[in-house]
Amino acid sequence: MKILEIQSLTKRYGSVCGVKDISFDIGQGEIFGYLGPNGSGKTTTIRIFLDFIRPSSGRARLFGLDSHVHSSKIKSRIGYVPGEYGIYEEMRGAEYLRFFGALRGCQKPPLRDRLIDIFGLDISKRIKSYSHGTRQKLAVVQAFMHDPELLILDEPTIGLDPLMQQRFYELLLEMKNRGKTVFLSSHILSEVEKVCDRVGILKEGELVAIREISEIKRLRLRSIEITFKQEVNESVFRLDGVRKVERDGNTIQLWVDSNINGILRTISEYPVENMSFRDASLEDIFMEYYSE
Amino acid sequence: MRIYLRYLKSERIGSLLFAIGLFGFGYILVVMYPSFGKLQALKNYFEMMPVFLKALLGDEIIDFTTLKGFMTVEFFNTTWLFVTGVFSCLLAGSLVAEETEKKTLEILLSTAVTRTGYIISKFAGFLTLLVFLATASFLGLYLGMWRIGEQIDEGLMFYAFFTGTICMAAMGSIGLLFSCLFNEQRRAISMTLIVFFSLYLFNLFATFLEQYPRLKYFALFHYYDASKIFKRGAICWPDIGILLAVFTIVLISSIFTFRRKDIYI
Ligand SMILES: Nc1ncnc2c1ncn2[C@@H]1O[C@H](COP(=O)(O)OP(=O)(O)O)[C@@H](O)[C@H]1O
Ligand SMILES: [Mg+2]
Repeated sequence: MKILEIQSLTKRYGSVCGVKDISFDIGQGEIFGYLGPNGSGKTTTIRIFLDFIRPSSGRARLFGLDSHVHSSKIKSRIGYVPGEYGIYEEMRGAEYLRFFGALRGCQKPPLRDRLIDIFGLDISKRIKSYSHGTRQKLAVVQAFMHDPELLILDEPTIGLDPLMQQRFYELLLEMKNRGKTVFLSSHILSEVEKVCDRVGILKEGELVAIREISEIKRLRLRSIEITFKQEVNESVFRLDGVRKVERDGNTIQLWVDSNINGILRTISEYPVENMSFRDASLEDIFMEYYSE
Repeated sequence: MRIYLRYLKSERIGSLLFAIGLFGFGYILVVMYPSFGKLQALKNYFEMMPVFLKALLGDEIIDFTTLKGFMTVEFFNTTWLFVTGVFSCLLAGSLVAEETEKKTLEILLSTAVTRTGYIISKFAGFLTLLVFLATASFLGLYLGMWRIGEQIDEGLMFYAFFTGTICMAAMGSIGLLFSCLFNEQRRAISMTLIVFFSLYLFNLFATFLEQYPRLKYFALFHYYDASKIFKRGAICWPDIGILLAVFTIVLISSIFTFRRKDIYI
């Protein structure tokens, strides 16, 4: 069953285009990564799911229901972590969770205590005194505690420290194993690679590709930076498997895909001072999908 | 319901202060009345007042030296109208705009709460506080009267507060509309305050300009006039009808506006 279906969704803010003609769908039990740099339209898409904004054209269906017409029914089955939000400062953590538990129609949210435990959240303090990371944890607990069928997460790991991020990824995988569906927006490739099954790549409001994560891993570019003892002409590196070459003095940067042997042979013909590998960044991934 | 209760809780301190203020002011005013009321000079003073000031005191001028008259002049048509008016502007203007500005609206509306349910819960909270203020004022006056041993018919006093509260509810619905239209709390509140003071001034002005007698029918506060109620000794249903109509129309427009609004924070 399709949990989320989007058909040629477009949202314009005046003359600015939030998203342009986007279509995809997500099945049950899937973790779908929605990857794009800032301003690429991730939040815009999510706000349409939640009926905060209305599309200029096209539509979104969640659980087979129209996002606008049945928004209340849909929202009773989801959990949501916004990219940017405020929390009622005057409340204590426990009070906040009680408030949202009641709004969600469960006095005793099934996952509440476990989540508090996982994230080591102190709910007796006033939210006013919470740090940025603690607020984020509270927002996460709020979204997960009633054990919803679909989680919509807008860059949820921002503000969490690496240990908490790790626990958060484990939580996502656990939800997936229990048949829940996750929509995870992110601008961090490695994060998406860690947990997602599929990823939609967004650039300036357009969906440039949807790929299985295994495919991304296989195809993805790596960059090699080599500093030579002398100046080397970059044209000697225009080899098979090299997508892009840049030179800055004695340093040459190569973006390569799978075939690395030929390159290493060429490099060894010159005196090397230093050499480093780097995983592709989001920009490199875009370069890949642009060159297609 | 939850939203309603949380709203009451979050506004409890401010409202309590307003209520205590009105209660205390009402009480002191009544207690001081004997020392004012006996002065015949005061009556003469009032009679010499320019028309403009008389307009302030309502349409159907009654004897100021009686307790009723005194209360109308000093409390119902002035202080009370003003204080609850400002209260209504501040609270109603922030009903939605505060949560938009502080960005708490998104998580709240990610639950099954509908936009209509949300706005109605909050507005109901505001109305409750308004009734609370009216009750506190009523008690203040009543206690004062008990102290000085003079009475106004409680029924009439109740009518005066009843009409006044509906008038402020209508003012509040205007605040709600601005609160839905603007994303910044301060902007919504200032717009509501501007409307409130314009309406107030317009009312004074309209009553004053006797050559255009129809003008005053366009002033919202024309339909709340304690002196009219005390003079006639009865509630004025047409006035209440008009206030309720304004209230309903503006409230429905607010709900409509909010439902159609794009919420981006
Ligand atoms: N309320 C708004 N008014 C005008 N433009 C907006 C608004 N919200 C977003 N945009 C524009 O839409 C584009 C997509 O933004 P957004 O969906 O927030 O991206 P992301 O979440 O991926 O960072 C950006 O160019 C942004 O400037
Ligand atoms: Mg965003």
